[in-house]
Amino acid sequence: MTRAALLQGTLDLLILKALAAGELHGLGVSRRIEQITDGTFGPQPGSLFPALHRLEEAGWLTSTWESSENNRRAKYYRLTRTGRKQLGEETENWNRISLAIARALEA
Amino acid sequence: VVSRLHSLWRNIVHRARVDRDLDDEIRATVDLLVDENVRVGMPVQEARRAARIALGSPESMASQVRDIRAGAFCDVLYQDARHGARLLLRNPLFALTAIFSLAICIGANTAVFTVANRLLFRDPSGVPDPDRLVDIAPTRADGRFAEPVLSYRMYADIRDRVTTLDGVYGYQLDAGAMSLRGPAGAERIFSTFVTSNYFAVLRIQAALGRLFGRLDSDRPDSTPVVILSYPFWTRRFNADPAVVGRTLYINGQPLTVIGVTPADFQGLSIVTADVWLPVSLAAMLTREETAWMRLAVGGRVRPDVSFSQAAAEVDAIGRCIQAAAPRLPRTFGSRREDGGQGSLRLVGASPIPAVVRVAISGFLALLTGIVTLVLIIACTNVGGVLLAERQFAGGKLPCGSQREPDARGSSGSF
Repeated sequence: MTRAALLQGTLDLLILKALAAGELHGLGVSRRIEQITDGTFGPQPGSLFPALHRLEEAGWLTSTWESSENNRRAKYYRLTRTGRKQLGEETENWNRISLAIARALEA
Repeated sequence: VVSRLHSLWRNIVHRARVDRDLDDEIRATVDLLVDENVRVGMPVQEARRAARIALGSPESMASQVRDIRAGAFCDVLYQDARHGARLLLRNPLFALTAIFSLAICIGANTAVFTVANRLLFRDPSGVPDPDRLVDIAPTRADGRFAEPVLSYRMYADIRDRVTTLDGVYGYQLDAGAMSLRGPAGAERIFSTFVTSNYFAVLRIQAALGRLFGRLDSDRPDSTPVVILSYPFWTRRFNADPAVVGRTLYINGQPLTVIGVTPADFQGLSIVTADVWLPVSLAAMLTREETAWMRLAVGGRVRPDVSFSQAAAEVDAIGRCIQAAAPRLPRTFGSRREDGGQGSLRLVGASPIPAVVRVAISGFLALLTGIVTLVLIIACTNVGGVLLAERQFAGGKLPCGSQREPDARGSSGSF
């Protein structure tokens, strides 16, 4: 299974999308991204954690300490209202770009 | 933006808590990963090792997160400042040299700015409502300023004709040396002749006694009086209130002290006189006739009149005076052969006469430029020496000796 290098900026979009369904801890976000991209993307912790903190500081995520499914404490991330709005905007933006690129490559 | 500011506040003020939280999060992630590995059937030991490999070193991850935090630059700044302080302490001679040369340059800059600020940008101190004060300066036929001063005659002519100004005053631009007779011999003091309405138009109130007023006139036969400046009064007379009414012998003539100007009033020119004398005494104390005294002239624009209206009137008066005195060889500095179309122009009041204002401004700008350049050179020098010293020290260090940890490098470990 080869993993594609993440395009600049797409990691934020994938994190927001992964959290759209509900709260997850850091490792959970990573697993969810692998799952929803069919294993095409698997963000390294070295880039995932800084990104999570950056999005939290931007006000798109909030975090709380909760206990995980097997009774371990973990930091869970959740989308905020502005984060949800941001996901909408970035999705729209991405659709436009990918459509344009696809057209350009077909031409 | 609010959330960013909030993060910045949290990162700076609750640094320890934020850092602990991050460490906890990384540790928790390791544990979760270990659990995951154990669940797929790895032995615990193996699971732990795999988790460590997958996550990389917790230190590097923590520092990566720290680098993106709001206010990360504050950390860097703090560490750089500490590093700088250590460098200076380690080499006091270099530190002293650097501080000394920078101090001199900064001092020079401050000095030049202080002078420029005082001469060009500040209102005269102690004068109420200084915005409406104007200088009246003669111009040549080509519109350039001719001279900084007018004769008393010309001044009186303007004063009597003008209606848009609340009085026109004249004052000597420089301070003349006089001798003051005292118990221990003569003493040199500096005086400035002013017209008898000078203080009234400027609206200066006496700190003691009275200033020239309606009782005094510019006529040569008026009472010989003198006004002391506040610094001179405190220095020479120990601020003695009984000085009013006393007689001072100035250039051998007995003059009665009638008052003291307030402490914050320093006159309108760049020199501050010890005593103020009425122009009526010019012939008695100097060889100059009052009528031919050379005075800087100014006035106060009436509150209900605009600056341009006053300027138009003064210009008209100037042309009138010019026309009325065609036989004068020179009026306002322009010769008759030139057509002699000189006039008078209003400019904002300043200690620098209008005729040299541009030149002085240019000179001060040049000085500012020069001292700024010198400061830049000094900074470059200090920077260069720092670099050179660094290289030198780096080359001299034997292998394995204790080097100070690099300021930036130390931020990575905890």
